[in-house]
Amino acid sequence: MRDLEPAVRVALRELAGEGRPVDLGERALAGARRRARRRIAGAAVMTLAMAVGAGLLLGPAAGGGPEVDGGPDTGDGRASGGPPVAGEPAATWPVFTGLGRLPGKPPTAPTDRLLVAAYLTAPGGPAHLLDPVTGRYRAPGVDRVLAVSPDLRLALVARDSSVPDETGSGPVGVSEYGIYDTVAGRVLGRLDLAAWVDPLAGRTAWHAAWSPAGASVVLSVRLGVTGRGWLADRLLFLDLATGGIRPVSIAASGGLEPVELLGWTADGQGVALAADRVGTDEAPRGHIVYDLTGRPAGAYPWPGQHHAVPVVGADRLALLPFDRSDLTIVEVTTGAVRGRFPGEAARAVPGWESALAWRGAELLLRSLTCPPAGGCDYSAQVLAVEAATGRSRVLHTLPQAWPVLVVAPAPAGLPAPVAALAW
Amino acid sequence: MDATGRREFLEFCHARTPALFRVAYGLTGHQQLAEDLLQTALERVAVRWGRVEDPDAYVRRILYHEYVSWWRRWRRREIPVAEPPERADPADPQGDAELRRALRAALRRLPPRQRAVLVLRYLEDYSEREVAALLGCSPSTVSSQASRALARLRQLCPELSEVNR
Repeated sequence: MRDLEPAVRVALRELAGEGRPVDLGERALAGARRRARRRIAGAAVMTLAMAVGAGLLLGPAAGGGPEVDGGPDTGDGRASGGPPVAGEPAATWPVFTGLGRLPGKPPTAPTDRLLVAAYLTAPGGPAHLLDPVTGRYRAPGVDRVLAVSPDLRLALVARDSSVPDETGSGPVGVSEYGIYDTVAGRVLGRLDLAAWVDPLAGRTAWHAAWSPAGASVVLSVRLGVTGRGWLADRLLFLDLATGGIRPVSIAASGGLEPVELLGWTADGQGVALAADRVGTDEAPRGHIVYDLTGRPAGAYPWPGQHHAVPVVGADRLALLPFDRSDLTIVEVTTGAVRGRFPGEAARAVPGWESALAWRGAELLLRSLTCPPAGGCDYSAQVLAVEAATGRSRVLHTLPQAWPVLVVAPAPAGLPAPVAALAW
Repeated sequence: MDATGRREFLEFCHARTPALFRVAYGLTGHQQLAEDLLQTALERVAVRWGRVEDPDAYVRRILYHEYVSWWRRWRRREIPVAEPPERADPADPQGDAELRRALRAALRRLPPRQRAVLVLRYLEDYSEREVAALLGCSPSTVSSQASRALARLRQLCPELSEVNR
């Protein structure tokens, strides 16, 4: 019988010793120079660009960016050649003032076919977004893609940077959010969130989800609370037609407090958030559905602590338990349990912890390769797992083992080059 | 940064990389992510070089904050949880090799804040007060996070059932 703490010390030392230290001084200096150039160049580039046309000088952020084919299953050299490198983010985007019309809706209800709407080549690497007309991916010079419209023609993107915290507790991340036109290849404008978001005060915009009809985007705003972790206390509804932002406050309900946006209900009349127990800082133990005024429409405890897979094209949540026991499927709007995925089967499926989305009755997972020597890494394969039986099959092979993906339902009526990308 | 600053910065990187990389790897459990994380932290200290009183502490603080921030940013989509190949365990007179292997696997599955607390407390040997200052929370929060992390390890690692609490 031994004490746990010494065993943890030894295990941590062994774990930390597995890496191979690399002298990063020169790389860091090059990165620091890029950061400095980015700051200095911002204002000057904006002035010049306004004079001669944004397309050329703003580069990828406003002019479309380099393109790369997005076709899956080709193995035609993209993997070895790699994606293009995104250009430097340039000037601050102008404020988004709306499309002046209702954004496009998918021609019909989303199908069960999915495609990769956006991906990152690596954590911290450039984001790539699909052009739904040509089927090619652009690198628009942004750091993140938070949400993609149902017709794939718009995306909510973010550029990240940091500022020193005056209290000296370290740098604070700040982000600029913009609406990106995936066909024109340019940012239409940034969202002016200053009235509700202040990272220096601990209040940040976090997750986002596009409404099923395509006309609105919801962002959750979170606030760090000592001893209770991050709490979502506000939702911001963006009207794409006008650019207007409507804030609503949200509060705890049924002994649960909201922490993380999951998505819209299928009818577009509500928004679901994962929630932990009031007063705690723990993994989610339930979800709350709010109506569009911020009023709780229902609070639904889960059986234990889970990581919930966001809703993609279905009104169901997949609750992934941390201990690989049974996966539970619940209805978003009622909390009713609609199925259980056997834990025994789950333990046999590599990629269990990297669920992507639902496709019909199947749960899609990223495949992991686990060599006999131990350790696992992502492969380029997407597995489809029958929730009822646990049987799995390779559904799709990505051109590369991208670490970060945004998958979206493929609407009907896509041009042939894009439809060919769906799986 | 002038030539002197550049030389000092490179000397700092050369001297401190092994220790800082251990921390980055302890947090991420992944070679590439550890390199990315440490490079990000070093870039930030390079920008402020000459104005930072204690570069080593500054880099560590950025490592922890960036690590938690990365995880929160990407967990909704894909979380890079890749694990490097295990090294062969040396001969172990106490027969603990399997336990430690299981424990390392369990450490990789901890939520980032819990893992950060364990790295600070048990890899870096910081006090609860020092950890609280680094993470920007109260010592009692550190204490409860550490307790939860150890409890979680017991759940994730059934081999620990024979280990004293």
